[in-house]
Amino acid sequence: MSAGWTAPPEGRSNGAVSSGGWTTLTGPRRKPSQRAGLVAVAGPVPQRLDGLYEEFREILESAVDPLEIASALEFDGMSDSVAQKRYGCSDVFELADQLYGSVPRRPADPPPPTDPWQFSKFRPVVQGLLYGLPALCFPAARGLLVGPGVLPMLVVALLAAWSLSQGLAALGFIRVGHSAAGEGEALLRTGAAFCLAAVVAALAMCDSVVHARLSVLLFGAGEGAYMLGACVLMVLGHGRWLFLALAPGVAFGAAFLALGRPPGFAHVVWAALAAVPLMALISVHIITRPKHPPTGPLCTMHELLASLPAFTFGLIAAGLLAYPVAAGLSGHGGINTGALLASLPISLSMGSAEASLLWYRRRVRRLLRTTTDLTTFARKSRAALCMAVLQYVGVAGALVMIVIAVAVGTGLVQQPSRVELVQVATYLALGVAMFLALTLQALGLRAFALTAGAMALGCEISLRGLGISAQVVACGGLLLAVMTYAMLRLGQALRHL
Amino acid sequence: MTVATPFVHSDMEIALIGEGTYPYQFGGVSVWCDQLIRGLPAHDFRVIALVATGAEPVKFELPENVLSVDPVPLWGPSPASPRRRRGRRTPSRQLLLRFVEALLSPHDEKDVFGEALRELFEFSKLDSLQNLLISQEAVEVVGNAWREHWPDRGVPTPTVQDAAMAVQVLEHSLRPLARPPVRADVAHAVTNGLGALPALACKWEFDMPMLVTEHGVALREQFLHHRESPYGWAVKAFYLGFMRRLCILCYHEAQTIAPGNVYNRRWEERLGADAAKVRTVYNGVEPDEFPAVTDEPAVPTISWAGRIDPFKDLETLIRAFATVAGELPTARLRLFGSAPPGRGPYLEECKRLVRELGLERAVTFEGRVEEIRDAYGAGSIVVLCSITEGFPYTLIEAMTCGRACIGTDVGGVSEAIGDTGFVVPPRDPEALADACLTLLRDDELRRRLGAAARVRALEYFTVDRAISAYDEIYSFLGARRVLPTASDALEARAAAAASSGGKLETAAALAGEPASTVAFVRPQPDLGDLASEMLPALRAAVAGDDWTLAAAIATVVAEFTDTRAEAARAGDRVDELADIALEAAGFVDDARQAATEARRWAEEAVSAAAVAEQLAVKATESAAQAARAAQDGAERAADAQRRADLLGSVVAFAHAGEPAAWHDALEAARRLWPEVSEQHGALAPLEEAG
Repeated sequence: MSAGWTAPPEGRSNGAVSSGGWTTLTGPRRKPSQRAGLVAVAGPVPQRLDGLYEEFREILESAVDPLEIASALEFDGMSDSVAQKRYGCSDVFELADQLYGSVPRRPADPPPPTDPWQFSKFRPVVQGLLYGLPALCFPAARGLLVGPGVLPMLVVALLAAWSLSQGLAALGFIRVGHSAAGEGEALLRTGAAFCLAAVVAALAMCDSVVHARLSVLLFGAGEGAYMLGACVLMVLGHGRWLFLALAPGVAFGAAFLALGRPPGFAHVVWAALAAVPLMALISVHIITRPKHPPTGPLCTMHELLASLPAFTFGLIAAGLLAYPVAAGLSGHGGINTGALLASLPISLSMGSAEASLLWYRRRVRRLLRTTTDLTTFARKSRAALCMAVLQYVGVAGALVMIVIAVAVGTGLVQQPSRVELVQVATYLALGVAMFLALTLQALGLRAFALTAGAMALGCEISLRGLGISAQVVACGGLLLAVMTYAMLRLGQALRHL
Repeated sequence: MTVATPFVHSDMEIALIGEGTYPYQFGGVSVWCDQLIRGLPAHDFRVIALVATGAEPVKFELPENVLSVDPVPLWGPSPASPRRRRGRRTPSRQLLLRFVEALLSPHDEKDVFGEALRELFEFSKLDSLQNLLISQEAVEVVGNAWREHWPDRGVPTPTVQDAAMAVQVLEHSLRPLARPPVRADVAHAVTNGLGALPALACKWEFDMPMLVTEHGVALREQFLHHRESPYGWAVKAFYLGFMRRLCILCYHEAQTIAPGNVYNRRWEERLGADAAKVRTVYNGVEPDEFPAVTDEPAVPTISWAGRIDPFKDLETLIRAFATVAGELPTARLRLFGSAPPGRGPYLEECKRLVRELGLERAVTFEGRVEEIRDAYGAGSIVVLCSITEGFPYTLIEAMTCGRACIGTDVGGVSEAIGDTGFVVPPRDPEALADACLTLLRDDELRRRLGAAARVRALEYFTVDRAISAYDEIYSFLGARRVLPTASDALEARAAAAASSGGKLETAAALAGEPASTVAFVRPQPDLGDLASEMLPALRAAVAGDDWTLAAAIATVVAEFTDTRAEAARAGDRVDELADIALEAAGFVDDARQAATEARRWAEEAVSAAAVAEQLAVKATESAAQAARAAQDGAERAADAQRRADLLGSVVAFAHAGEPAAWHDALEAARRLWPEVSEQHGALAPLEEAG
């Protein structure tokens, strides 16, 4: 019978002997080790521990406590008996104490964190096109959008679809991030169907008041379907499918406009426009096709509540962006040419806005890792925010100028007046304010962005009789408020974890 | 000293607190909670469950005695904040400073940490703890404190990210403390660490008794978890320092600590747990699910069951088996279990090793088995060769099936096996092969150890036993009484005998008692009275066929009375008295084992009678014959029961110091039970003792 393992009892039934591990408990009970500090003073490694030192080097050098070493030793099969026989220690704890005391702390640098905000150089362009290209469909569909109630119907479709898609996106991100594969897809699929039904219901209610034509109703429903489909595809990382969906509408629409709207071509173009939402929905159907039967509830109340701020923000943002255009077209303060001109470049600049936000977050994350002083961090992170805003303003401003130049050059509009330039600048300010509001939302500061946005919209509506002044006050005030708030709050380190 | 007495069941409300377990997650601890709640229908439970986000669905069907389930999300949305009281300004920065200083102090000053934590608890009743912690102020406090305490060399200076993450982790960790505490009779945390925070809150708010159960050692698991920490060194040190102090504080605040095995107890005592309030309660299995397996495979077979994982060290087993196969060419090794996701390469590695050693014909990978007991029955012996374990169910299940086991000396393996199998060093193929050959070659030894393993498992490792132990603990805690340590002495003796060859100090350490308690030389002026008081309880236990309780009481009485007399004569001869005490314990155990044997015979006789009855019903043409057989069986059963009772009386009277009654009972036992006395020699030590 070899030494070291338990012999069965001889004689008395309870007289068995185990391996020596148990006897190590016999000494006087020790109090928890009195540590000398965060890092114990290291002495030379005793020769008998050399082998262990080599084997456990990484753990020993990065240990924060002798008990961490004890747990690692035990986990690797070290027992009290082995600690006694091989290393002359009373137990694993004493061995760990010795190792901790004789090895200096040299923790390895943690691996660089994965960068969740990495993006390709083409991403802003791709995103900008995805946001801006649908705008081309509206002038091509002018023949469809006639009769009473066109503007209210389009505004209702925009407000309903935008706000619902924001809420759906938030819901999707929550579910995709916290559940098994396939559950996010199932939620987005069903959620998109519910939201589309809600958009159609809102349009039907509006139609019962304004008595718009069926073509207007269908166009509004198509607008809503496209926006919801785009939302689902982008949340799931399949935004490129949207180019496929947009291709027929954009190609035929652009050709139609370039050819001077030939009447015989109109029905073909309308069919191509109708294909856009249909193809977006088919893409959603294919991407979110269930691979497994659902196991849990489709959506919890907690998730719904969590997505409510995003839904509300979507509603307010849609209102702020649509109101200057819609109010002008409906006769309040005259047609807002500046807002009309700026709406396309601001839509296109959303790709740049996303890129600026990602740049800002990467920059601040790097500051977090490299700064040891809170004051320095606050100063540098505010500078980074200003830099991000300037980046966005630069791109958006350039796009606005390009669009104005093209519009003037092609004779679509005359040389803008001072008032129209103010309108453009105000709309650009609104775009910057939206960028900052999105930044605040991304960093968890939802309440202020929502409140400020709602107040600005309320101000614009209540002061609509003042014309451009109301827009200047609302958008300028909003920009000032969110910028000040962002400078104050985003200098805090906790916001950026 | 309070002594174990039959406790009285009373309805109580228990606040049962778990972390990441019942009823939101499946797993061993969750099943244990479910068994506990269902096993104690007289008590009501209010479950507080620490969960990740609060969105998790309940996965267990809740029994009627679960009054409420309160999920506490650690990572989900922020908890609701209490309304700030008007006119009251809490010096929050001072609170933060005190708490962070207590955390970063180089000493484990549990009082300082406890006071600081309690201040935060009191603060949370008036104001938002979350707002206090998730603040620029808190980040500043941590950053400044680090600058003050940080070592000069070796370790990189903490960054702003480190300070912010430390604060964030702390806020999430302290959420359970900020929840309104539940009022109940006992606060029972089924883990230490964060899971014990609600129990602390219950204790501080309502002065509720607190019980901490540990299936694994919470702090040890945290250390292991953070070997691949997502945090930098500074945050890791900060968080683990918090966990260490919290665990120490909870051990200190708990009225009773109930580790799942003695192995855990080492860590608890290392962390300053008072041994006097540590009561080991083993996990158990349902005996009905693991009936005794009597048949053995036709060829010598080693069975292994489990998850195919590097921690199970199958390479050592395969290498050991190569030696076994060299000595016993007909031997086989059957490996039951599958590789979890990500462990496929390890399975392939094991298969390659089998091929390299030329063992393809003798070693089989059986995959997952429908009924795990079939895996145990498939082997002549069962082997567990892990390099790390807690208290492995595999072993106690195999033991319940009556299989002799071999395990490696890790975790609670040696206390599970005790003296009913072999324990070998981990990663030692030669020692493992030696043990396997010894058992496979010696049929008598193997069967004897297998039978002993079943007896041991049924005695120590059943669900009923665990539930009864908790019922008793609840009853004592609910009545604000000190939990007895007498049964700990019995447990210590058994564990010590099983593991250390009778070393007194080991028994003391295992029992959580100072050595003097086990040796019973502590001055106890009322022991004589105690013995006479206990006698009725002993008789009642024997009459009620509760042999475990009877043995425990008999042991205590015998040891106390013997030792008192010796102590009076011998003064300070501590070692000698210790030997006497252990000797007494040994002979009581012998008698108890004999009684258990007799009871088992009685049960077998009853079974035989039942079989006979069935035959009688089925065989209508020989009804009269079947009836006689049934009657005969019943008589045998009654006879065996009488013998068992009689032997119990012998034990009882022997230990109670009633020579006349003992003598009469012994003589009666001799007349009725000559074959037992011859075969087992059970009566000889009784006679000597008398």
